[in-house]
Amino acid sequence: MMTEHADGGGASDADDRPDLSGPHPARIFGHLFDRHSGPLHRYLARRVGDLADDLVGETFLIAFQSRAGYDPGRGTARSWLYGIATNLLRRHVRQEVRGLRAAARAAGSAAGAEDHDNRVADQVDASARARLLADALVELEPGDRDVLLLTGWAGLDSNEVAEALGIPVGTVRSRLHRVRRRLRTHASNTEHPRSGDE
Amino acid sequence: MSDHDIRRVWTDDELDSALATLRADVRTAAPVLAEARAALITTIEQAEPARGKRPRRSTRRWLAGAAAVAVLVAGTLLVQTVSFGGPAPATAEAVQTLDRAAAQAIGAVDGPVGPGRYRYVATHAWWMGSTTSMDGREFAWLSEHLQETWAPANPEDEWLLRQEITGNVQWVNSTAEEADAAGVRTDSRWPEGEWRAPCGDFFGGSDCEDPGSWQKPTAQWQAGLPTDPAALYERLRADAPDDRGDAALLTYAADALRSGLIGADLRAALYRALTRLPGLEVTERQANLDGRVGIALGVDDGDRRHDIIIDPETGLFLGERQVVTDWLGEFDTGTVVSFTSVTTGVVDTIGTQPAG
Repeated sequence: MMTEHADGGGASDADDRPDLSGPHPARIFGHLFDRHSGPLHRYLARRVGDLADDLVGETFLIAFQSRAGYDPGRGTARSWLYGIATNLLRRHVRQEVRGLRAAARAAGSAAGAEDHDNRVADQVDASARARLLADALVELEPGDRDVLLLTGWAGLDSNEVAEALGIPVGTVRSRLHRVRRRLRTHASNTEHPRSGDE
Repeated sequence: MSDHDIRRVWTDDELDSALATLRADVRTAAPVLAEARAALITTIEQAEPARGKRPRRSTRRWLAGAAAVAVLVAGTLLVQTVSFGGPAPATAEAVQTLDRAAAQAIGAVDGPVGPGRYRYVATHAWWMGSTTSMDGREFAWLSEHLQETWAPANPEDEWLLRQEITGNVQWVNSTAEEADAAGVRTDSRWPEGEWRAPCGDFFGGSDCEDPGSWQKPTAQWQAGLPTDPAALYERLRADAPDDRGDAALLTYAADALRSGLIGADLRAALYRALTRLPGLEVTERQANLDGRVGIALGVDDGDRRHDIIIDPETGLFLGERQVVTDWLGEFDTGTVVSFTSVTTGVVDTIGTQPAG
């Protein structure tokens, strides 16, 4: 059992935008780590599997070494950390693509027998759709994938994604809109409709 | 025929549910984050005194490995509630044990190293590794990391460091057969090999100007410490980080003792200083560490207990260990999550081990 620290909501502004250049860096970064490492590890693991074990530590080490470059006025510590992690992920695109291909191929759970049970059918649909989505994610530009997954998996809002990637928030919104539209059409390309659907 | 015949555009909800489902089964093992946190904090603490100097990358890496276990005590994901219920001093038995060890340390068996000879220190550190197998089972093990140091009588002469992962493994929550069947690999990124440098500065290039610390107790640093146990205790309290309560003081003392480079007088003073440590108690009278038996004294930080183990006959520091006291069900209470044994000797030639 682990406690995942609530990221964001309800925390004070000083917590969201800490002064990282203060006199007790071990305490400041210890706190930063405790607050963000769990969700960050999970995000990284969803993207590149076991590599996350190394990348989460690397992210915080880089954060510490480049703490002078963090400006609380320009973004939250969380955006900044996910920005560092995004740069690290760029070195592992092939690993990510391999993982997505594997997820796309993963054997589906036995559908059919329980089709009459709508809840089970919905779950089957969700995992079938997840496999199709994995396939479609492979085709995305890395930058588009970052925007989509920083939003959908890491739970960053548009402003935070903009801070993390260093791009205008308008660009984030239009990119996200375009990517989602593409996935809704493209990912469903090979889906076979269930009989009686709609 | 055409794909368009069967194309159906997903709704936003369908896309969201696919996103939420895809690779949602990843897990985070607490020890992974504990290690990362320990490495981070160690790096920061190593970097602090050297602020403004050239970064010393490889030093940090080595120290991160060596000190990881010591700092692992800190816990990571868990909200720490360290409470010692007021200023309870070390128990009477702990005080007695430390006083006796201090008295013996003065007539120490490990006398000074003569000119041209070397102090040999072997540290067998059993550190925890863990992984999640394909079927979602968590495996944890202790893996033996051997570190041998040859320290010359004159510290400005050449030192030698040898590091080796011996391949010896003790499984913590499974059998070797189960781990084998699950294809668990116990790889470690700890650097192996041989390094030589004056002043024992194998990775730093400080030109023998490293002021030293509890983690790197140079002769110069030892000479600057107070000899009075009360003053030494205050120094320990001032130097140890204040985010882990009194357990941090024991960890710092253990860092220095573990080096094997602490002189007998300082060791005695340090034992006497530790008699002031709140919450310190004798936790086992016959603690077996790698076949060597001594008295264990420890402080519980709320999740884990850090024990140092002392030979009551000679006052020698035998090693240390960490034992789970309440780690939210991750491991059973009493599980040893790391231990380190230290042996020292004197040899005539660099690179040779003491006889027997």
